[in-house]
Amino acid sequence: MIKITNLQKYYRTEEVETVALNNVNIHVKEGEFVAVMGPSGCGKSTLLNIVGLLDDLDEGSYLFNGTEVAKFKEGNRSNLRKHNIGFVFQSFNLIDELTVFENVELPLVYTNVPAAERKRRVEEVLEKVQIMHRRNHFPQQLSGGQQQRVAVARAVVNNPKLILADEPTGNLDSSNGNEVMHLLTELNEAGTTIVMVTHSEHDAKFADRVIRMLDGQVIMETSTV
Amino acid sequence: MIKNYFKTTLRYLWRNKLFTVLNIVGLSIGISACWMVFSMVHYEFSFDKEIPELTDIYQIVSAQEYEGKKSSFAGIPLGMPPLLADESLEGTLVVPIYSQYIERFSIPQEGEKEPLLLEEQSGIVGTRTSYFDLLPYEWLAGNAKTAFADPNNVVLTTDRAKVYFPKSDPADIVGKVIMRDTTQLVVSGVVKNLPFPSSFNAQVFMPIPEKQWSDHNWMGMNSNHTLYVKAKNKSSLQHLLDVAHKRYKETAAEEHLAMGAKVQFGSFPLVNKHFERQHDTDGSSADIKVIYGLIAIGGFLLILACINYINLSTAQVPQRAREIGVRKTLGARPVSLTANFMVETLFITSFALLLSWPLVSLFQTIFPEFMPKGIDRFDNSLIVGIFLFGLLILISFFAGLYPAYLINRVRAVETLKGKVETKIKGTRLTLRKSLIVFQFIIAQFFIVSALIIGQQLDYTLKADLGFVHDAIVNVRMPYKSYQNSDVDPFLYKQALEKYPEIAGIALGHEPQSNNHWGNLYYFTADTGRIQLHAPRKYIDKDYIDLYQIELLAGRNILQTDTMRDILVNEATLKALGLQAPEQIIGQHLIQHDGVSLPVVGVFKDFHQKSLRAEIEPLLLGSSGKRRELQVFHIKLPNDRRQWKKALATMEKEWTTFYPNAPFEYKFADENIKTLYETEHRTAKLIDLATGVTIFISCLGLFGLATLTAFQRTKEIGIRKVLGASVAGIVGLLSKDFVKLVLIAIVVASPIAWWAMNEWLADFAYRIPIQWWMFMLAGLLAVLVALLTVSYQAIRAARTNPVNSLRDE
Repeated sequence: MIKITNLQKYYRTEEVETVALNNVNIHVKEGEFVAVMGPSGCGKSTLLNIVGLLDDLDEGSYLFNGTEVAKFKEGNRSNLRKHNIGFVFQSFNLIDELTVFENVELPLVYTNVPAAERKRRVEEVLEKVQIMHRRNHFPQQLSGGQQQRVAVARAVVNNPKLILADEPTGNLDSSNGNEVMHLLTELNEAGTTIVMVTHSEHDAKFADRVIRMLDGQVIMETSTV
Repeated sequence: MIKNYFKTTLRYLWRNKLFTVLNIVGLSIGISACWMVFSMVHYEFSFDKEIPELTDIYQIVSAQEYEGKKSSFAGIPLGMPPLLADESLEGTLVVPIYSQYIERFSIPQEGEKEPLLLEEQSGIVGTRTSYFDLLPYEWLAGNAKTAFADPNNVVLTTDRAKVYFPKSDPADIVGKVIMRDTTQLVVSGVVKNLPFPSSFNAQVFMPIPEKQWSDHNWMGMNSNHTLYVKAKNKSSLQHLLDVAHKRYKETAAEEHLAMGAKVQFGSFPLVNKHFERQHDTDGSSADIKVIYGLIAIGGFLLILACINYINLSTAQVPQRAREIGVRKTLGARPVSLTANFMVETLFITSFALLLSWPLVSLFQTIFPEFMPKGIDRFDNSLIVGIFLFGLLILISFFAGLYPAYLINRVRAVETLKGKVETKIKGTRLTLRKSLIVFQFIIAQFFIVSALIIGQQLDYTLKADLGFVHDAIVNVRMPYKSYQNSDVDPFLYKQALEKYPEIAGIALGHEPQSNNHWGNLYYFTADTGRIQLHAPRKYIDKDYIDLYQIELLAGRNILQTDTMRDILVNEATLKALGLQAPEQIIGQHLIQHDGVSLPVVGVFKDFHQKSLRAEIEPLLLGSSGKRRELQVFHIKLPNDRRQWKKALATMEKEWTTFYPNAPFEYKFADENIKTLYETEHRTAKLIDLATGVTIFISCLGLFGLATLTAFQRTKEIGIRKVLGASVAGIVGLLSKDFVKLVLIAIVVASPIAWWAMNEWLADFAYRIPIQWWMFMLAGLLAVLVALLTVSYQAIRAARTNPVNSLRDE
């Protein structure tokens, strides 16, 4: 599903150029659950952003489902993103002005799904993450775990083929964290590909495979199964 | 999708109440200004526009040349209209309009014993039936043909009919009687008031009195007599002017030339009439420069308000970056983000529009003098509504554009990691900072202007005018026939002199006023006969004492009916080329008609006109006639507690001598103040402008302060951890803003100096512009800026550094 070859990514300021990712090669098959680990600043979030088409790469090739997307324009990326990829962030990134229902509904609004269909799908996914009873609450009124469940619901409401999770449990205590990890595992078992960046060895155990990075390079890949 | 926009927008605005309110208030000021300016400008430009075949109508005017000075004037000689009416070509209308003074109407009312008495009614004109062919009047009763069948016929507008016959229907008024002294005027028609603003605003029409129509005088011109011509082509108009010139040459030209004057008749199209100040005879015209000024002010305030909106909303962008990032990640396209923001701007603008409604009414209530006269008589709600709708769309579009552009530039990746754009360094001169400087330049300009105008107006009242004017009351002598105006005013004077609470009483023109009699005098000097143009005020013998006008030489006038003693001022000496005051005592000034006036004394110059004018020659001449003296001057005692008693005495005696005239007095100080009415109005407007611009500038500054405090959160946190105090950080943050204000002061001061110097140049006697005025204005601006910034600065300084330094 994802095939990245010889990826180079630099950060430039007026005086210096830093290599963020150096000659990275990654292959993620459909239905896989991959964890990316490494110390702070090793480039794992940058990698995730590139995979999610939020950031662009300087050199190399990125095949998404067999299509070369490295040189895609913003419009195409946005299109690809909203139909294929769901995001889960460490800091949840729910919109404060929208209710739980409306937050989850948002990706469907942007893909022009009819209202009745939206309602059905949002309710279905809220049921699944067990937050239906809070559908009319605003994010500030929820606990961290609940917020992250909403974020996961939002990520999957469009039935994306790929979910990218950036330290999804980073802001949660262990029991809430576990809940979220179980949720992700369930999704994976139902066929969704998941790429997750994490610091936690515990969380990494949920994945099929762990990619370890250091200083912008992939140094090791281990299988946990 | 739209529903989603509305919902988020409303919730967002509600959550950010402070910014929402600031934005709405700021924009509502701009909108109110545009609203008012638009209704005024629309009103002024709609004058006469609905008159049929407007472009064929001209007003005939007299252009005079006297002592090398050219001036054009609306008055025409009485001989002209009858001649032109006879000589006009086919299809040409000649419409004379002579305004009529009628002391009092007495109108018998149905079912009432007492008739309705109305004094000095305005808008009464004598004209010909051609008047009704010129203007599109709708007749409710009677018709144009028969309206002036009898010399004592009178036609009323509906407005006036309601006043004269409050209980009757227009149709029933025809045939009713209005008494003018002993003459019966009979109402022969009622017309609807013109449904559009017009220079023709007469309300009562009557045939021109035969005495005036048969007057073939070409010598004198009077602004009460005006003439309009409707001509199909230019040659018909020229034909009439040629006829007039020919007759003028035969009759008056020679005599005028002997007096040094030349007259030429001309015309101008009625289309321009409303903006022809010099040809205005009833004060209904408007100054086109003022209109342009108003448009500029309206546009300016709108721009300031939009700048503010842009400032405040871009200041919010970093705080909203995360939301925008999320939306982008979830697939929002730039178009939908822009639309979202435009909807938000539209909301704010709509609220601002709602708020400007009460603001506009408030302005109209507090400053009615700024609204053009008569504007409320015509309904303009449709056109104003269309204008406001257009304005709403325009503001929403332009004010929303730049913030929307910034929003689209937000990079999703950075915002999602909790990073926001902190790249704009605090010290760099950004667009936003220059906008703030720009706003403060305007504010500073107005502060300085308000200060200087205030000082000058203060000076006009407190300056030594050369006479003492406090505790003096002016009472106009009755002049109407039924008010016992023939009673000798000296009787009232003598009656008051008996009372100890009256400190003094004199008769004559007010010392400082535009009232005087003008004349030309001749003086025989060593060098030959000298011409002297000098106004002359009539006084009685107590006048000099009452006003404490200093006599430099000679004696005061003697009070006799026959003597024609006069006093002259120092400026007269100068004009006559004399050195010492004594030189003129005993000499004579000869009037144009040959009457000789002995000069008995010289008084020290005093300001007989406003401080705008240089002190010019002035004669004070003795008189015993009511017609010449006109005003009682009564000095109140030093003890203020006696004033009430003194005024009561004055009124008591007044009713004995003038039982039919109301007792109306005014303090001399108030009368002096009326000389500066325009200036007081300007001052009021400038004060308002100052307040508004300071307010708007502060809104902008507040926005920038918020942004800066946000951008520097981390820096502030680090400084606090390293030991900075709250005061130190507030100082740090405020310093930058004070710098902006200082730049504005430096730029604005010379501009304000120049403008105020121009304004003060109108005054022959004026205050000097001093450095402390700029200092004071600057200090005020800095203080206001500090107060504005301090809220955000203190809040930022008091934030717990633990919060600001935590990265996630």
